[in-house]
Amino acid sequence: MLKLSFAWAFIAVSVFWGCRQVVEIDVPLSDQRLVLNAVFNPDSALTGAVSYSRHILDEGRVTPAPVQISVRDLATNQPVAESIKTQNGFGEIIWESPFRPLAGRTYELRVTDQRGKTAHATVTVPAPIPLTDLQIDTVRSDQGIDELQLQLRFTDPPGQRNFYQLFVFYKDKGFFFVRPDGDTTFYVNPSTRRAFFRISDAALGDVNTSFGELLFDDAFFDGQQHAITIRFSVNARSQQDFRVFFQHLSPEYYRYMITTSLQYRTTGDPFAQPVLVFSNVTNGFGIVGALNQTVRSLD
Amino acid sequence: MRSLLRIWALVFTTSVGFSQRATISGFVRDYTTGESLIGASVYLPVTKSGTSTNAYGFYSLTLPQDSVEVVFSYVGYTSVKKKFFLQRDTTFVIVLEEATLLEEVVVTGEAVEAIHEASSMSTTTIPINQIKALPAFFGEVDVLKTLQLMPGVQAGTEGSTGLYVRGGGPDQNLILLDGVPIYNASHLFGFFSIFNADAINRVELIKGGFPARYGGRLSSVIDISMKDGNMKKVQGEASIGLIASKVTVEGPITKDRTSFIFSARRTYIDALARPIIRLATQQVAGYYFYDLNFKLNHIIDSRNRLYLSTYTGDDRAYSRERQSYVFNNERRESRNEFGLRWGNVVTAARWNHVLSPKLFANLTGTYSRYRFDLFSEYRETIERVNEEPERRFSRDQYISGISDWAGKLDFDYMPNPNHYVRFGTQTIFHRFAPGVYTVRSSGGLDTTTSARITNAIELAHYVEDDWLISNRLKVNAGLHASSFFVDGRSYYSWQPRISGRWLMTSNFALKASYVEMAQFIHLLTNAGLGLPTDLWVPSTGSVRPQTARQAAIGIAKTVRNTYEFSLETYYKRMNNLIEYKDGASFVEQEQSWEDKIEKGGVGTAYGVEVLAQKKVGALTGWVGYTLSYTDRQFQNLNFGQPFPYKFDNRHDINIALAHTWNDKMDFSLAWTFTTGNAITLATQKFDSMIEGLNSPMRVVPELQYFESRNGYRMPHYHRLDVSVSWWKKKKHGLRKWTVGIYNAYNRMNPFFIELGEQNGRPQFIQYSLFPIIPSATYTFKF
Repeated sequence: MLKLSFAWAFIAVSVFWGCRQVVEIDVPLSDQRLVLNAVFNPDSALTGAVSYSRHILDEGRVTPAPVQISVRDLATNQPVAESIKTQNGFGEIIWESPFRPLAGRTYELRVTDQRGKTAHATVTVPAPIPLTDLQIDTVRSDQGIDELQLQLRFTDPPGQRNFYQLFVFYKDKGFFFVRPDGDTTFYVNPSTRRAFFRISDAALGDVNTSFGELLFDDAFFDGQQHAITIRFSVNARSQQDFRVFFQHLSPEYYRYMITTSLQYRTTGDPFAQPVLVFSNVTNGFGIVGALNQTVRSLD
Repeated sequence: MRSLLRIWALVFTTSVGFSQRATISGFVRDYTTGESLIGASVYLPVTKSGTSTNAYGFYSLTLPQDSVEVVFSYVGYTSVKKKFFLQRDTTFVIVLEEATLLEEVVVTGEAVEAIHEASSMSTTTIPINQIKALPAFFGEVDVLKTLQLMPGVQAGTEGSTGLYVRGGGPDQNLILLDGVPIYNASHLFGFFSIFNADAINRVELIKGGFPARYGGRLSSVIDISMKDGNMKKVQGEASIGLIASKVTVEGPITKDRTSFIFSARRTYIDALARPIIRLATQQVAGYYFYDLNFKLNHIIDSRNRLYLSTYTGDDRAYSRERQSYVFNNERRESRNEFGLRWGNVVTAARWNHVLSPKLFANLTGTYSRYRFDLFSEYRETIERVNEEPERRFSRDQYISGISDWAGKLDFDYMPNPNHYVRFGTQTIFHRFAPGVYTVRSSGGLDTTTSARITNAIELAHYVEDDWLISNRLKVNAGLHASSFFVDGRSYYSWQPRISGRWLMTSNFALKASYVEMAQFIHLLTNAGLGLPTDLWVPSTGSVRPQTARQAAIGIAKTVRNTYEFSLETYYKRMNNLIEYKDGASFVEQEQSWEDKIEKGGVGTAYGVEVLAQKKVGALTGWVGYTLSYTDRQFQNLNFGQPFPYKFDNRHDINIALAHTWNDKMDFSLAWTFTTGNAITLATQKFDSMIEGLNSPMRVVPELQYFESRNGYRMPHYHRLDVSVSWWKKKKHGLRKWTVGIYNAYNRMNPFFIELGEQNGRPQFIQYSLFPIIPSATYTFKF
């Protein structure tokens, strides 16, 4: 039996020995493209980032040379974002403007780099969707753990496809943590965290909340009032200041979020089909999206 | 009066005409074993016409009442010639003796229906002895891996038993075991097939020009016949290899009347690896697979015969872990168990009946089931002082599969030597269970979620005629009509089939074929691995049946009745294909299958195949070359543009040779070369949305840009396998040692490629599966 074990060990070693190696594949260099990332939100000043795409094997990051950034209201065809300030980040330019976009308006963001390369995108800011009701209850799960249950009610605008995002943030109180050995005590600072919640809603179909957010559309409740119930575990000793973000997204932003999430989830799975991330940027990559949000604090 | 005389003369002439013909019919069998010889030739050298035996060894030939010379022959056997005066319907049961391996089998020029004579094309029959002579992976002879060495057949991924025939997918192959479809023909994630070569009689691969009696799949038919069992004496074979052992026993229950064959195979990877795994992980874990074949064959009388055959096989993987510890003055004992099981059960009962010397009937009832079962279970006992022990458990289970109940009635009608008519009907009741998930726990949780179980009925009718129009022109023409009923929806399909040959010279023919095919069931498969999670699903209201049209033209030549050459070119167009959506993976079981797929795809495949084959003599084997192109197009994939199919392998070369030195030793080699599989690689990367912009957002790493699907190629695949066998006669039988080397020059062939890191830098990393692997097998035949 021992000889057989050694024989099998020998076979196992020979099967899995030398199975990983670097391989040369000719992925040609291609022209770098501008990457525009920005979200138009009436609740906050306009801000965004500009960078360059890179070859898949490229470790370097080239910060775009000073760029020209303009935001234009397509209804009036007038520039709207005055006093755009830029600062260099790590391989990118962060820009901001005090301009606050308006719901229902369509804007174009255009960026031109020093070589004259231009990328642009347009987006329409969606209307706000108020929460008509928000109920909070404490319930006990099947495993005997206290959970917070939120029920949000809203009315979906009829006659158009609408896209939504929901997430909950809370602030951890600072607390002391004692190691099992009893010798060491830590203090954990207060921090803002995203709550990971569960949902069961037949109208939303199969949704993934593993990132602590819920992305969904109105396919099953178009034009109707709808209630969403979510549950997440609560440790009352450490958590406080819950804030619920209920966002109405532009279609392109929704598609970007879905495809980005999918690509992220399948990264590292060699048997998953590749995912093309959606982009509405002409002559570039990234997303210029828009949202309108309702934020409620839970006391 | 004159009118009466004319009428009488007419009747007499007619009746004399009828009474001047008679039929010879019967069976052709192996002299030693009594096995039916399928496709044996029954030939008339004078008229240069004849027929061949059907799938049960039956033949029928209607001839003028006259002196007749008939030659019965079969590849690898010594021919038998019969000369007699045919006066009435006559039955012959012919037995043929196997020729000695070292002699060239000499047959009269046209006695064997050689490749150039058959009306069929794109068809290859591989003798089982040739399959068993070739080098084997881990010493396990594999029928499907041998078919991968044929032109027009791609293997897919390293080590798998997948078959991609003329650009088709793995679900487009109709794999039949004694006429019963097999839904998952793989063990160990596709590295071995379920077919035990010791129990197999014959393997036929059809890639195009499908006769009308076949239907239900688009790209190929792999018709595997089990042996019937030796009618004369008990014999058997047992072998022990590195990872599996098998035994086959066959023999008469009643001599020349009832026979049986039983065959079993089991791996023992789990037994060998268990001590090592336990040392390393403290867990009990293992994997094994087994196959069982059993067949009964009973001759009731010269016109009636019964068969009962069954196959069952399973793969099982398991792991168990126990823990026991004390915490907070509580004693806790837990057990974690994980199990994975998948396999087939296939059963067929068959009745052959000779209705008349010209009409043969076969009635079959079959059952086929494939099931996949995955579970995990956790049990915990908590003991506290002065309290009753608390017990907790939770169990998850996922089950999916497909079951078929079917009945078939087939007729072979041979009215004269110029016509061989086949017709029949089939009904299949399908039950699809695409995934049932149950969760139970001691906390009262008891939930079952499932994709809906779907029942469907598939009907098929066919008629075909193998028609010898003239000495030069022979045509097989037919019609396959099928229908599918599911969820109140009906699909109908009329599929014309035609193939023919034109003899340019006595040993050189021009061939052509055109066929239409339809497929009502689909396989959701990922990455070309023969995974147990591959899912068979029906056509539905939104997922229409797949269809295909294929045209082929070629030439075939036989040289000295020993060498066969064929050159074929084909064009195939497929419609209503399905493909996993972007980001979909077999890992995600929560989603409904209809939500994971893109529908309405189109596929195109065309190419050229060359095959040179030698089936008899000391040296046998073949050399094959394929030049092929195949692509796919879906509205929502690759921006709606056509993209190469994953297994679009431009060039494919295969050499398979087996040589018998003497009665003590033989040698074989197989070399395969395939240009690389198509893969999708990111060409650029870019920043995603930054957290903190406008509102709190999740952090997502940089994103990848894929310019096109399957836009790159993996490195080429090539491999050499060799084996040597030594025979020795022993007192009670024959002993054989076989030593082989898989991947003899240790080529690191690509299994998959992904973006990774080497020395801190991003690089494309290739993962290979199998380096050089030696094997040894001991076989004893008695």
